Amino acid sequence: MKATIGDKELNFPDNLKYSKQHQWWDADKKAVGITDYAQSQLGDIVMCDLVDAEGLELSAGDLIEDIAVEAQKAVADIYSPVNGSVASINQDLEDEPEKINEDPYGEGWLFKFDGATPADDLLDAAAYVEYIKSL
Amino acid sequence: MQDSELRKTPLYEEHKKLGAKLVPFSGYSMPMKYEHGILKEHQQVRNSVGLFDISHMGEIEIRGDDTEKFLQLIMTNDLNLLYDGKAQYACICYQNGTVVDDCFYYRINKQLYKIIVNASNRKKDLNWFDKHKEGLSINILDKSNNRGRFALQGPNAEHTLNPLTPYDLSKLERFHFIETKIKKMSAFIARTGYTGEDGFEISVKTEDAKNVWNLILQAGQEYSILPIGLGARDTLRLEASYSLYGHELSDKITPIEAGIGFCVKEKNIDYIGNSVLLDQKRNGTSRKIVGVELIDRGIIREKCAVYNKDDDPKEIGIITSGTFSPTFKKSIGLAMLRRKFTGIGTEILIEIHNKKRKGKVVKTPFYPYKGRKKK
Repeated sequence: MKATIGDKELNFPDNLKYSKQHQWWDADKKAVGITDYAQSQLGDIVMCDLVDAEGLELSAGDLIEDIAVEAQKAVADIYSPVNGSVASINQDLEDEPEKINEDPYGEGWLFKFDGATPADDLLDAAAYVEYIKSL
Repeated sequence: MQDSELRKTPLYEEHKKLGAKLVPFSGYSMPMKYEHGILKEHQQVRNSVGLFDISHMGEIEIRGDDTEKFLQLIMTNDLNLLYDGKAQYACICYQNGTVVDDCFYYRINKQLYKIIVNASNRKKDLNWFDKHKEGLSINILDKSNNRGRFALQGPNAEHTLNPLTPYDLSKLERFHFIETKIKKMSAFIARTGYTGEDGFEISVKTEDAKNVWNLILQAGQEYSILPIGLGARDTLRLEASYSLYGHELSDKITPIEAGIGFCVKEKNIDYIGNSVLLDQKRNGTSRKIVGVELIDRGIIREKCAVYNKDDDPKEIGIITSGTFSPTFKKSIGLAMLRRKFTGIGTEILIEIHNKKRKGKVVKTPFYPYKGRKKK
């Protein structure tokens, strides 16, 4: 679904689940990233260093430390929306971190998981939009 | 501070129309960035021209027969180098040499100077001025709220502004100013800036601010002019290695330690802080601010600790400003380091997200001034 937040029209695909920490979860691709809302709040993302996340065992809600998704004026905290272990990271983001801004649900994905189970409290697109409108 | 308590510059409504992300800054609601974002804004200033709202800054006039006597007493630079129409950068220091504020002042004539100070220090400065005016024939007038101020910066700044002024700005040299008009509105125009590019800083009456802002944006259309927020203002000044109060300058740091000894002069009188400052200028200091760049991946941020070697737990200094440089595509910063580690090329470790990352001391400015050279 599309939603206008502030003065921007943002995109929230209906097939994804969303956390209140602004991560999305794609159950088909087992992929995680940051939402269109999160990237628009952060602004130009200029660095993305995910290497240390490889192989990490995560519980839903964990702050993923030792990685860096950084915008010019802000650092994004990335929390895992799922329980599972990180199977792969998006290495293209090392050279092209701006893909997170340009295509947050596609080429801007961050991690893929092995056999992950999502957190109980993930929201669907409509509920997430309602949540960010309340912020 | 609640948003409702924040002051608005005369351009607040224009910023909203331009899609600015407004943030609290020095008690004002100011644009951090506009719709194109910091990187685009930064590049626009480097490549063409951009317009900044700097109305939040303090503007103070000193009038009277003892104006120069007063300023010679409180400023580190030497007013004897000035003449009517010339500007000068200086620090205002405490007796111990640390910094009350840094500022630019403009000699309109020997009895009238305009001073532009940091927004966050305006009240402190006015108190400091009051404290030191005793027995002197001067009037101190705070004009901060009665003016709109802009910076127009970039290689096309002159092309943008010149058609709007009766005065031929190609004749205006760096660090000089002119009182002229923009269309029919009186304007104070100085060839100064905070970006490393050619450009102007402009002050107009509050009631003309919106009009002048829009006239300049219109005139700059052929150069794809953009409004520029505080985010790019910071990345531009850091590439140009200009000090920012609260980072490289403070009441804990002297201008000599900050590496801006050029604005500390030996004068024919004693001025506040001169004994400490001149001693430091002659004999050096135990610590100094230098440029650093990161070799490993990451982004240097303010307050990161700096180390010498992995097995040496003792900090050798701290980052005072850090960013990702849009021009050089790597992370750069300024760091206050112990003298021993300030040589160009010295390898250092910068702690980022609890990990020590390799960096080195480099020459500043990262981005040498690209505008017109001083006459």
